[in-house]
Amino acid sequence: MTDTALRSPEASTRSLYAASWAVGSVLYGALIAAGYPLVGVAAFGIGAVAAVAINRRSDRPTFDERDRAVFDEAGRHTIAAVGMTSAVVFPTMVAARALDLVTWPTWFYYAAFFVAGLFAVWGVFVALARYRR
Amino acid sequence: MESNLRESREREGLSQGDLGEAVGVTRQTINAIERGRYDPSLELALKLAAHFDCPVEDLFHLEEPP
Repeated sequence: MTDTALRSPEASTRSLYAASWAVGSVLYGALIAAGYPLVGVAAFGIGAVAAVAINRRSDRPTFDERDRAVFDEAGRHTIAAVGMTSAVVFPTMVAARALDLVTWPTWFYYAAFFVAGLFAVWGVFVALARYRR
Repeated sequence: MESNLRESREREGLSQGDLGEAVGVTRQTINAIERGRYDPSLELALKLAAHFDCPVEDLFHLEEPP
Protein backbone atom coordinates (compact mmCIF):
# COMPACT_ATOMS: atom_id res chain seq x y z
CA MET A 1 0.00 0.00 0.00
CA THR A 2 1.05 3.56 0.45
CA ASP A 3 4.30 3.25 2.31
CA THR A 4 5.94 5.37 -0.34
CA ALA A 5 5.13 8.80 1.09
CA LEU A 6 8.43 10.63 1.17
CA ARG A 7 7.77 13.12 3.95
CA SER A 8 5.13 12.49 6.57
CA PRO A 9 3.87 15.42 8.67
CA GLU A 10 5.62 14.12 11.78
CA ALA A 11 8.89 13.71 9.85
CA SER A 12 8.66 17.34 8.74
CA THR A 13 7.92 18.39 12.31
CA ARG A 14 10.91 16.43 13.55
CA SER A 15 13.13 18.04 10.92
CA LEU A 16 11.93 21.51 11.89
CA TYR A 17 12.38 20.67 15.58
CA ALA A 18 15.95 19.45 15.03
CA ALA A 19 16.74 22.38 12.72
CA SER A 20 15.60 24.86 15.37
CA TRP A 21 17.92 23.35 17.95
CA ALA A 22 20.76 23.09 15.43
CA VAL A 23 20.48 26.65 14.13
CA GLY A 24 20.18 28.03 17.66
CA SER A 25 23.20 26.04 18.82
CA VAL A 26 25.38 26.97 15.85
CA LEU A 27 24.49 30.66 16.24
CA TYR A 28 25.16 30.36 19.97
CA GLY A 29 28.70 29.11 19.38
CA ALA A 30 29.40 31.39 16.44
CA LEU A 31 28.21 34.55 18.19
CA ILE A 32 30.14 33.75 21.36
CA ALA A 33 33.26 33.18 19.27
CA ALA A 34 32.59 36.45 17.45
CA GLY A 35 32.47 38.33 20.74
CA TYR A 36 28.70 38.68 21.14
CA PRO A 37 27.91 36.30 23.99
CA LEU A 38 24.59 37.84 24.98
CA VAL A 39 23.34 37.82 21.39
CA GLY A 40 24.46 34.20 21.23
CA VAL A 41 22.48 33.32 24.32
CA ALA A 42 19.45 35.11 22.85
CA ALA A 43 19.80 33.18 19.59
CA PHE A 44 20.02 29.90 21.49
CA GLY A 45 16.96 30.84 23.51
CA ILE A 46 14.99 31.70 20.37
CA GLY A 47 15.98 28.36 18.83
CA ALA A 48 14.92 26.51 21.95
CA VAL A 49 11.57 28.32 22.19
CA ALA A 50 10.95 27.70 18.49
CA ALA A 51 11.66 23.99 18.92
CA VAL A 52 9.29 23.69 21.86
CA ALA A 53 6.62 25.66 19.98
CA ILE A 54 6.96 23.43 16.91
CA ASN A 55 6.60 20.36 19.10
CA ARG A 56 3.54 21.71 20.92
CA ARG A 57 1.73 23.04 17.87
CA SER A 58 1.95 19.75 16.02
CA ASP A 59 -1.35 17.86 16.01
CA ARG A 60 0.51 14.54 15.87
CA PRO A 61 3.11 13.22 18.29
CA THR A 62 6.50 14.47 17.13
CA PHE A 63 8.32 11.61 18.82
CA ASP A 64 6.91 8.20 19.60
CA GLU A 65 8.10 5.04 21.33
CA ARG A 66 10.48 4.12 18.51
CA ASP A 67 12.14 7.52 18.76
CA ARG A 68 12.49 7.02 22.52
CA ALA A 69 14.01 3.57 21.89
CA VAL A 70 16.45 5.17 19.44
CA PHE A 71 17.39 7.87 21.97
CA ASP A 72 17.77 5.24 24.70
CA GLU A 73 20.07 3.17 22.51
CA ALA A 74 22.13 6.23 21.58
CA GLY A 75 22.36 7.15 25.26
CA ARG A 76 23.50 3.65 26.20
CA HIS A 77 26.20 3.70 23.54
CA THR A 78 27.31 7.18 24.57
CA ILE A 79 27.64 6.33 28.25
CA ALA A 80 29.41 3.07 27.37
CA ALA A 81 31.84 4.83 25.04
CA VAL A 82 32.61 7.55 27.58
CA GLY A 83 32.95 4.95 30.34
CA MET A 84 35.24 2.63 28.44
CA THR A 85 37.38 5.48 27.15
CA SER A 86 37.64 6.99 30.63
CA ALA A 87 38.50 3.63 32.18
CA VAL A 88 41.54 3.46 29.92
CA VAL A 89 42.58 7.09 29.52
CA PHE A 90 42.35 8.45 33.05
CA PRO A 91 44.13 5.63 34.94
CA THR A 92 46.80 5.64 32.24
CA MET A 93 47.28 9.38 32.61
CA VAL A 94 47.34 9.14 36.43
CA ALA A 95 50.02 6.47 36.25
CA ALA A 96 51.98 8.42 33.64
CA ARG A 97 51.87 11.53 35.81
CA ALA A 98 52.92 9.56 38.90
CA LEU A 99 55.93 8.35 36.95
CA ASP A 100 56.68 11.92 35.83
CA LEU A 101 56.16 10.93 32.24
CA VAL A 102 53.55 13.59 31.54
CA THR A 103 52.11 16.73 33.05
CA TRP A 104 48.37 17.20 32.99
CA PRO A 105 47.11 20.20 31.09
CA THR A 106 44.49 22.20 33.00
CA TRP A 107 41.67 21.12 30.72
CA PHE A 108 42.39 17.51 31.62
CA TYR A 109 41.43 18.18 35.24
CA TYR A 110 38.14 19.66 34.08
CA ALA A 111 37.55 16.68 31.80
CA ALA A 112 38.22 14.26 34.68
CA PHE A 113 35.81 16.06 36.97
CA PHE A 114 33.21 16.28 34.21
CA VAL A 115 33.38 12.52 33.62
CA ALA A 116 33.20 11.82 37.34
CA GLY A 117 30.17 14.11 37.61
CA LEU A 118 28.55 12.52 34.58
CA PHE A 119 28.79 9.05 36.06
CA ALA A 120 27.61 10.30 39.45
CA VAL A 121 24.47 11.63 37.78
CA TRP A 122 24.11 8.39 35.82
CA GLY A 123 24.42 6.41 39.04
CA VAL A 124 21.71 8.48 40.68
CA PHE A 125 19.35 7.85 37.77
CA VAL A 126 20.14 4.13 37.79
CA ALA A 127 19.33 4.00 41.50
CA LEU A 128 16.10 5.93 40.96
CA ALA A 129 15.07 3.67 38.10
CA ARG A 130 15.73 0.56 40.20
CA TYR A 131 13.76 2.01 43.08
CA ARG A 132 10.77 2.71 40.83
CA ARG A 133 10.80 -0.83 39.40
CA MET B 1 9.98 -11.22 16.29
CA GLU B 2 8.01 -11.54 13.06
CA SER B 3 4.84 -9.70 12.22
CA ASN B 4 1.90 -9.95 9.88
CA LEU B 5 1.20 -6.27 10.28
CA ARG B 6 1.65 -5.38 6.63
CA GLU B 7 -0.83 -8.04 5.51
CA SER B 8 -3.40 -6.94 8.09
CA ARG B 9 -2.97 -3.29 7.19
CA GLU B 10 -3.20 -3.87 3.47
CA ARG B 11 -6.25 -6.06 3.92
CA GLU B 12 -8.01 -3.04 5.43
CA GLY B 13 -6.72 -0.69 2.76
CA LEU B 14 -4.88 1.48 5.25
CA SER B 15 -1.72 3.42 4.60
CA GLN B 16 1.10 3.26 7.11
CA GLY B 17 0.31 6.85 8.03
CA ASP B 18 -3.37 6.05 8.60
CA LEU B 19 -2.50 3.14 10.88
CA GLY B 20 0.14 5.12 12.71
CA GLU B 21 -2.32 7.91 13.36
CA ALA B 22 -4.93 5.42 14.56
CA VAL B 23 -2.63 3.96 17.20
CA GLY B 24 -0.69 7.14 18.03
CA VAL B 25 2.69 6.51 16.43
CA THR B 26 4.49 7.79 13.37
CA ARG B 27 4.37 6.30 9.88
CA GLN B 28 8.06 5.53 10.26
CA THR B 29 7.37 3.35 13.27
CA ILE B 30 4.75 1.32 11.40
CA ASN B 31 7.20 0.96 8.53
CA ALA B 32 9.98 -0.16 10.88
CA ILE B 33 7.72 -2.77 12.50
CA GLU B 34 6.64 -4.13 9.13
CA ARG B 35 10.23 -4.39 7.98
CA GLY B 36 11.24 -6.21 11.17
CA ARG B 37 13.56 -3.44 12.25
CA TYR B 38 11.67 -2.48 15.38
CA ASP B 39 9.81 -4.60 17.91
CA PRO B 40 6.85 -2.66 19.25
CA SER B 41 6.24 -2.20 22.95
CA LEU B 42 3.62 -4.43 24.55
CA GLU B 43 1.32 -1.42 24.73
CA LEU B 44 1.64 -0.69 21.02
CA ALA B 45 1.25 -4.37 20.10
CA LEU B 46 -1.97 -4.48 22.12
CA LYS B 47 -3.21 -1.26 20.50
CA LEU B 48 -2.54 -2.71 17.06
CA ALA B 49 -4.30 -5.95 17.97
CA ALA B 50 -7.25 -3.97 19.29
CA HIS B 51 -7.33 -1.91 16.10
CA PHE B 52 -7.52 -5.02 13.95
CA ASP B 53 -9.80 -6.75 16.46
CA CYS B 54 -7.62 -9.82 16.65
CA PRO B 55 -5.39 -11.54 19.21
CA VAL B 56 -1.92 -10.05 19.41
CA GLU B 57 -0.51 -13.44 18.35
CA ASP B 58 -2.19 -12.99 14.98
CA LEU B 59 -0.03 -9.92 14.38
CA PHE B 60 3.20 -10.87 16.10
CA HIS B 61 4.96 -14.13 16.78
CA LEU B 62 8.41 -15.28 17.77
CA GLU B 63 10.76 -16.26 14.98
CA GLU B 64 11.20 -19.98 14.50
CA PRO B 65 14.62 -21.09 15.75
CA PRO B 66 16.94 -22.08 12.87
